[in-house]
Amino acid sequence: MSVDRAFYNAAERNRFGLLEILFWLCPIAAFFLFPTSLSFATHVLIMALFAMSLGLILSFAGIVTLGHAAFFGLGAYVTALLSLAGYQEPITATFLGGAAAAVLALIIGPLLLRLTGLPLMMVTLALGAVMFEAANKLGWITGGENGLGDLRYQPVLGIFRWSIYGQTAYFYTLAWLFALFLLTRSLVASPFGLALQGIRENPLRMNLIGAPVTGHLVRVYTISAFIAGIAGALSAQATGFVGLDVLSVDLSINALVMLVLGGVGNIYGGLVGGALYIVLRNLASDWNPYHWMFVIGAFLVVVVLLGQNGVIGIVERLTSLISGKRKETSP
Amino acid sequence: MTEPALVVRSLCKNYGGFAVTRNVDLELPRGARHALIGPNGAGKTTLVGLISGAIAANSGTIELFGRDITTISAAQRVKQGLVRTFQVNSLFPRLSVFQNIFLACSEARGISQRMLGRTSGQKPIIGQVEAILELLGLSADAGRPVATIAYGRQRLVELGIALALEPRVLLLDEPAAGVPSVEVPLLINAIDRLGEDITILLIEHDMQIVQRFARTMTVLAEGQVIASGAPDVVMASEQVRSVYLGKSGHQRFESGKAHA
Repeated sequence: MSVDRAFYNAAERNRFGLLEILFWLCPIAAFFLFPTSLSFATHVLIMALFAMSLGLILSFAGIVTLGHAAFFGLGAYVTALLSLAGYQEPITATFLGGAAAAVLALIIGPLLLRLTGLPLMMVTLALGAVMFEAANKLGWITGGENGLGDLRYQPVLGIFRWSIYGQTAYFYTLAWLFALFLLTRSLVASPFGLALQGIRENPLRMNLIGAPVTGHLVRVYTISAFIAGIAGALSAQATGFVGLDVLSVDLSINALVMLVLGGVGNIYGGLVGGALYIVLRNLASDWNPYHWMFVIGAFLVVVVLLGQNGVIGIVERLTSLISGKRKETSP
Repeated sequence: MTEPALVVRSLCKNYGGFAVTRNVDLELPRGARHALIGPNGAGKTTLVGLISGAIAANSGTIELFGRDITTISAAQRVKQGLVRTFQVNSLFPRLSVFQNIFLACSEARGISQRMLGRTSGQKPIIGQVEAILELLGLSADAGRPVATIAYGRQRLVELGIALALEPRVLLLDEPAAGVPSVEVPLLINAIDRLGEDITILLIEHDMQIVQRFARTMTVLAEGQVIASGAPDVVMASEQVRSVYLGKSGHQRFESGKAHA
């Protein structure tokens, strides 16, 4: 009998399950079902990626931050500035956007991550606000309120041109999302991933078993910042525009809402929550452009009341209920 | 190879004007089975905190196998083989028993930095964890979250984490505190089975456990050492009896000796 790998590390899965395969077929189905909404669908993927990056540090290492947009925004601006400077190879430009965010995390991480809880939230909130204002004031670099527009990139791999229908942007984003998902998935299943869970559960005790707690946290924070920076870079490439909103405090807070909606405690939380939040917001604002927050708020209340773990928690409980009933009926 | 495992000299700790630890001297030879007793508030747990590095001393020195460790961090002391358990469980509540011990093993072996490779693929560590679970009789609970098992068994997990850190000197802070009396023998047997290569300092209130375990002992009162030596000699001391035990305590000690 093969032992369930979750025995060793709750984040480990034996193989791609049916639900996982179905989940990843959704974005491919969306491509064929909504060919005229691809730029919106790309935005959904980007937000899912951003929420996943926050989920990596929140769900697994217990880092609660209100400033994650700093990394998203930095990635976006770096990629945009590279394009304006004439560097337009898309894959390396995306990578450099992520790398810039990672470097920022590596610098501020060792200072920030000595804090936890409320102080950490306040400091990250302040840092996010400072980044936003700095971008606003440094108009000669960032374009200030006007942003940086008309960004151009070479065809992906020299083959796929960026079309106005957004097919290239969509699959390009999906490819990054899937690759970074695989990276995250294997990261949380590693001994390092388990050590992070130990820190989340009891940082003091981790320190007393000899673990370099701050070192572990800086490492995962840097990886998370890299992913957030990639998400920002992709948004610059997909829309051809970067505005101040990529650094807004709203974006940081929305990412948290996405995670709560999707469910913390699982790498799919950010993906499901991010996608759901954006789609819901779009539907709600179509329905009523003034009161769409009401719909999101109501939905959030329902999800929090129904399941301890977001939409994923509700789905898990439903599936265990169904499989439980099946066991009862077939002895 | 004859230097003692642990030497504490003139250790002092004040909180403001309040002296919690006053000029404490302690010497544990290798393989010692030393008990530290004293009334509530005597500063026993503070002393363990000072030795383990969780609390910084005001003055005095601590040596581990001849090396001065007074100024190094708690984490570094663990790496040098100085390991403690906690009087109140300090575990990873939502992780399983297996994972709790795995975390300690992987830190001790330096694999916690590994980002590549699955947790389930770490065969040597998994073997080590399973051996500890076996030793402590925890194998049946391996997959259960620590928060869901009985308190007495959580104490065993606490001990298991300490053992996973490959201790050379082990500080046990009231390992039997809160353990139902039926489960105490399990714990004591586990401690009895530890090898002579591990030097142990035990803090305990239960005189029967002390009597069974200790070859030497120290009595602490109001932050000072008031007696130290062989249990029979120490317990016979008038000062110890008046400060700490009272008459009933001594009777319990004598009855414990009869049972041992």
